[in-house]
Amino acid sequence: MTAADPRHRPMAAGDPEPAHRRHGLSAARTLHRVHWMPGTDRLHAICFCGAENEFDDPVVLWDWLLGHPDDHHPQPVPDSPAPAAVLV
Amino acid sequence: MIVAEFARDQWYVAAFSHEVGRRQLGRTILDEPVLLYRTEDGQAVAMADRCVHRRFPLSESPSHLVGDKVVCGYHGFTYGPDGVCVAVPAQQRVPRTARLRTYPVVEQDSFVWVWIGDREPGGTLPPRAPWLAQSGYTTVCGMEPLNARYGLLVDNLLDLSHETYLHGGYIGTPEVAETPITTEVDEEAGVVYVSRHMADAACPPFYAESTGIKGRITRWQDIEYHPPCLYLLHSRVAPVGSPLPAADGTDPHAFHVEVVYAITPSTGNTTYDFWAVARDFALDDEKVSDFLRESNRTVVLQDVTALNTLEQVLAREPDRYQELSVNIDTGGLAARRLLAKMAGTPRTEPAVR
Repeated sequence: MTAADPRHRPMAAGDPEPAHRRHGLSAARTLHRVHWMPGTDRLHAICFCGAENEFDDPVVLWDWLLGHPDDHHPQPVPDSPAPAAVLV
Repeated sequence: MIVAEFARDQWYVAAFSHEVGRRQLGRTILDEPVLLYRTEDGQAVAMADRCVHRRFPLSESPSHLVGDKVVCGYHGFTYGPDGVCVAVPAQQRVPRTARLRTYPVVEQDSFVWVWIGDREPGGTLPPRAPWLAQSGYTTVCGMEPLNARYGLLVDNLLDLSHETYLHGGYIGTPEVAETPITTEVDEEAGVVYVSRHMADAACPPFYAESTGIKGRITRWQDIEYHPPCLYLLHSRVAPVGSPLPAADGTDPHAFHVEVVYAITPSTGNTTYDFWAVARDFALDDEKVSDFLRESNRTVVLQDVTALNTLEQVLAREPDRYQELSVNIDTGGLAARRLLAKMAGTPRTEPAVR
């Protein structure tokens, strides 16, 4: 399952911007997202590192999300800055 | 585990601005008695609400203000707005230690915020709720004391599914509990977002009466919780079929209600429940204001009654009772974890449920 999967559409009424963006806050790099998958009892968790997982228990879900990077499979963060030059 | 510890070194709402004036107001915040009043030039001040001599409350009659000074009603010890004692009865010498603790104050968005903690706030400012004091909005507000720990109110507000059951006939309809939610947690900023967007829902009386909408509605609930104190519910209501917000953020086809709660812990099992409802329609209609004031107060009191009962139940339970959490609790669980982190409470899994 990928983020492009239509089941990830988080809300039913259109595709509004997430609240923090509509109200002028910038998305942070430590933003965890949890989508309740419509038509199911499953929760889809997305860590800020890009790792994704599905759960049916919100307690286990938060353990996993906040346990970053344990059991995660981090993907490169798109806007991560280039590594600083090493001073020798 | 419901968070019971206090998060110190944080801004808390102590009062609405209109509550603080030329008469002393006493509030207990995080177990600390706080005296609030306004100096003659209009500045809100906050200091310890106990005379250093025999601990008489300076907010209680016959304590009184003389100019910018507060005079203890028991023996006449007199304090300036900086907390320094300037007069004691029957002697010229004022003991060097005769001073009251003062609290940093910020007055913002119709709230008087005080900083409760041991370090100074530095550049840290309270979160904003600009609609409460902004042209283009009309606001009604109030405060209800809650005989329950603050964590119960946080739980309550982060899960609006309870509207369907506890507030049916006011703000609850079946769709609220049936529609899935999206939860986001900004770890860096320490903010929890919970969104529930209903595409085709019954219009509850709270909105039907105030907006005049007759049919079914698109109803959006976007929660923004800034722990520990400020909760914002961005509520958007529009007749089904109305255009969505424009790309530039304008949304002329919908009604907007900004519901604000300040959740201020008073003692371990009491809380100040400050509430406000700001709207961007029927701005000068007093009937709408009266209706929203009474309706929202009724809703708040429904919560207060339920949470007061819950507090009594929990107070009799063993500390490590086992809760059950389900999908609707995803945001509330996130809020609990942020609060526990702020309070410095060690995690004792699997108790946080």
